[in-house]
Amino acid sequence: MTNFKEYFRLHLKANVRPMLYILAVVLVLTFLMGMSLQPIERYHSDTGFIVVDYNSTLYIPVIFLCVLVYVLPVMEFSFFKKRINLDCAYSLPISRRAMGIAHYLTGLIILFCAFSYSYLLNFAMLIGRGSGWFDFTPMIGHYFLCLLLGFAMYSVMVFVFNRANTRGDGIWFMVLYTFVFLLITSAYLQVTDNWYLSDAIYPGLLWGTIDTMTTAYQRVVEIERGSIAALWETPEFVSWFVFWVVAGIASAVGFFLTLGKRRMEKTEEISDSYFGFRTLIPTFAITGMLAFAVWDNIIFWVIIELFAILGYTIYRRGFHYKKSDIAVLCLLAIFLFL
Amino acid sequence: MIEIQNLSHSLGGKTVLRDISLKITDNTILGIVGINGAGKSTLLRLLAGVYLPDAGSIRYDGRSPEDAETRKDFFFLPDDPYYTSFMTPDSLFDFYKCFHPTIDKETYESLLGEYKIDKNGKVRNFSKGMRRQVFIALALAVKPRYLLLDEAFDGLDPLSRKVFKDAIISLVEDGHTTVLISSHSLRELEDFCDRFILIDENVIKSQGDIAEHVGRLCKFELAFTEAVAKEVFAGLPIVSLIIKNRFVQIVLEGESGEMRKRLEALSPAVMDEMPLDFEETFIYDVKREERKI
Repeated sequence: MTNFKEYFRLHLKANVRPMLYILAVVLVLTFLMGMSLQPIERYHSDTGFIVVDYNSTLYIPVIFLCVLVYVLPVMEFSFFKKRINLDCAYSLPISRRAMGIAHYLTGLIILFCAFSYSYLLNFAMLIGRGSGWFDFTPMIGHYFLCLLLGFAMYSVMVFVFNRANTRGDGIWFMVLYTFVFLLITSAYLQVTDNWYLSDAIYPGLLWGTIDTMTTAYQRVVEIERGSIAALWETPEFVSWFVFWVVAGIASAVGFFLTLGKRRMEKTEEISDSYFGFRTLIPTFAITGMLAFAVWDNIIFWVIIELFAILGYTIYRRGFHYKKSDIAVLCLLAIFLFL
Repeated sequence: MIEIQNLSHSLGGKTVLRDISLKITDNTILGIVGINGAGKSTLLRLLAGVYLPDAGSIRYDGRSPEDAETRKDFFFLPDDPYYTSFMTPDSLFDFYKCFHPTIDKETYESLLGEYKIDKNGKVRNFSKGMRRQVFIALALAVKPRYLLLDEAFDGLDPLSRKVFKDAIISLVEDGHTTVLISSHSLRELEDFCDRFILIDENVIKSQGDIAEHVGRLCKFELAFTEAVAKEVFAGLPIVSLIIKNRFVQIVLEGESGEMRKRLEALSPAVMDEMPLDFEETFIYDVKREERKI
């Protein structure tokens, strides 16, 4: 790849300052949150109440990781959403693929550094507070599991963000993809009359990574210090873990395959990808109606119809609906009155 | 040599360029002219590999601009060039040095000196003209084999234009560079372009040597002893005809001497030949096309 190394080095260098800002925020927030470590007291027959440990703050690096998987694709790829940038960038002697990979890897490096830094701070804080009972060994496994999930989620969001032609549409796509699996599963459970399963399935869907990552520690503890086989005894966790990893790999492959086909002409135009509004709005509307069928209340359905109209208005940047949009809205209206 | 074959391109479903074919020989300065929205910038973006053509091909000595290796040989200066908010002229130089390792620091610094640009100032704080001067200095320091310039004179003061033109002429005279330049200011192009292409209605309407093209037309002002009707001029190769009572301004296509003889045959009381420049020729060409004269 012509000039990949030079571009990557330059781009990484240009990102040192934002990365330092992120690390500073991580430091301050980790410290502030760490201050809230509460002692756990146990009663001892000889000595009365004694402090045996401090609460875990594992959620701190996990939250950072989950926020960064949304922030970093925007930070790294907004550059490609403005024509003014691309005039110069695409005429440089570097391929679009190489340029995209450089941005993807930079995001990955920032993600790795920020999460590892936060994790180490958290680890140091637990030791500093004199935590004795807390078992540190599973933290190593938890760290790697979370990192893998973080990379996967980042890849999904990079793919999703890059289906859009503007930064605003890209952010919409990321938000919609966060909830689309939840709605599809809700609709499926509703249609198949398996609503009772939702407690096991939802945590992995809604903010899939945060929940999967925080429960990952418990899972790792559950495998009794090192027995990997025990992990497979918690099927929901494993299913969602596998789901995100597979989605991450598929997204990364999809992203790399489509990198060379980026067309500058489409930048800032309506985002017409099949992975975008075109498919997401009908999916949200139909699955929403199916999911809310349990309440059998027309108000919910009217709200969904209104949201679909709002969705198409955002999609078309005004009321310039196309025939296909009107057809979907009409179908939803018919669905509503049936 | 740049070879364009049957190039077509659309933007937002609207055809901008249709079936364009062109050969640009080395060491020439080609002016790209046309009205707003004619497709000049689109053609330059296609040549720079920024746009990927819908149909047809572009070849630089047989190589496609879509290939990153080919782009090592050229420098594209768009209408509004990119820079990040932290960039200074010095850091811009370092950025371009990564892609064009042979970029000449001496030329760059000497041009910045001529333009009185602070090397360590933030580019974002510069005026449009100053930003353009920085990028012009970069383009000239790279000494590319192909230099693609979009509206290059916009925002430049007369002195900067002269420095820029002299530097371009010097690059071409060194036998090193082929320059393609689009501009609305045709008077700017006239005195240093070798050739031109006129893009109108998505196609190349005319092309060739600027001096020959200007020499193709001649403009006369005539005064008659009494009012004249336009039928009097029937049979002449008219490009433009304005009659105000006894006074006539006429632009004809053809050799000036021969046209003078034909006009003298109409027995005007007074007849003067007026000078024509490239810009006027361009206006007459476009208007004639609109009127289908």
